[in-house]
Amino acid sequence: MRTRSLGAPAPAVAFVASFLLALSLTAAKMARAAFQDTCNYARPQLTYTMTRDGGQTYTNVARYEGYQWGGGCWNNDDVDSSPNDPPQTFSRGEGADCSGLVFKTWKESEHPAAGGRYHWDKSRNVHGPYTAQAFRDGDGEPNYRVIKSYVYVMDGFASSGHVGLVFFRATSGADQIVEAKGEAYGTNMWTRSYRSDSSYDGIGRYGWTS
Amino acid sequence: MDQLADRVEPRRSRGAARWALAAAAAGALAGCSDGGKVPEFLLDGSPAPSAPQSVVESTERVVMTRARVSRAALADRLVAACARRMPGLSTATILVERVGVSGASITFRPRAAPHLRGCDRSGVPSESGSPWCGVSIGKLGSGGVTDPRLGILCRDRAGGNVAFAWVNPSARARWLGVEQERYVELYRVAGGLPVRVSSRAGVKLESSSATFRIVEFAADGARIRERELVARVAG
Repeated sequence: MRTRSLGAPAPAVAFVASFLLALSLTAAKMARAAFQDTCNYARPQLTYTMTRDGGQTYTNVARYEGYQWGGGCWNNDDVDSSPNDPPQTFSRGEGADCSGLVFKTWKESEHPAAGGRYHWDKSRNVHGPYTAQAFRDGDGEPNYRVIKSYVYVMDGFASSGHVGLVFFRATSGADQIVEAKGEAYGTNMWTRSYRSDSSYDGIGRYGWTS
Repeated sequence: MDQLADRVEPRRSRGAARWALAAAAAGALAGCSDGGKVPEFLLDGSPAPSAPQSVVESTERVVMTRARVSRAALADRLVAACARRMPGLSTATILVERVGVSGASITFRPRAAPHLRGCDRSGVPSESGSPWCGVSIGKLGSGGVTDPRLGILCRDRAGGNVAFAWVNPSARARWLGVEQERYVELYRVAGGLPVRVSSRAGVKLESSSATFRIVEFAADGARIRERELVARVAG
């Protein structure tokens, strides 16, 4: 009797401890992966204007907000809410990937045949149908390829695996590129020599109003 | 027959029942129109090959796709057009060419490259006039491609979007079945490469994603695994 009363708590304690550990791990995993729960699926707003400085402002909000493979929503607190996501894995974290950032900044439609301008709120969860390679090929109604020397502010450079937008054209011959570079780097602006890199082509979007 | 095959046998019958039910339901729905027939021809107009009897025994409404493994014939019009959009092809490159009902593809791995490349077509040329409406590059890891590299830019002649994705087959898989709206499209695993599959079902433009319902068959027709692949446009 005594033995039973003394021995019984051990497995119970172990069970409770295991349960709490599993619960905390699950909670931590959910908290880490749940940024996109704060995003929405609101319809985009059809807009009649699309300016290049407006595009710069839009990308500025995305800076410091992290990177998410296949992602497309972020807030504006200058913190990556889901750091260290696994590479090349969609894990519902904060930020866009390179092509998602270009898609939203260029106010494109999720329907490739539509050439209009659609404002996507930063917290709207959308990536768009284009990969970096597709932008490079000028796929989609609004997109086209640009001779590299003509690439201007908010035009871009795309390779088979990456795409970024020109924020400033620097006098050195390089450019200030705003880009969602990768999980380890996030989304920010860097000086890049894509203009002289043969693996990159110039890309543009029809429809800028100024 | 090894032990693993024996163990999955019960799943085979359950899975077969579910797929048969799905096919029957699709057929019943299609019965309201004239679209209930299983396609007899592939995208290029050729008749669909006969499906393996071992698979047909467990799955109804199967349409067999065509797969060919060969060295790249750069004189071929389609191969040359793919090479123009996706560099890395030479006469020494081994290609896997596939033709399905709504999509066709070329998959290849440039020599010693850590990635796969490929071209997709759906019968409607790209805006630039290429017969290939999509191209993809996929990074290779130990288990195949690390991402399915979904492409949803191709459209069929009716204007619907056709999704393409690479699927990593398990080691024992000899065929992959992809559930379409009214039939199951069967792909032969070939060339030791991931299988580029296509589908008109499950494409969601609003989330830039597509869902593929896949069943893997072993050489004896046993169902090895069923799964749902939700692929997203990325990178």
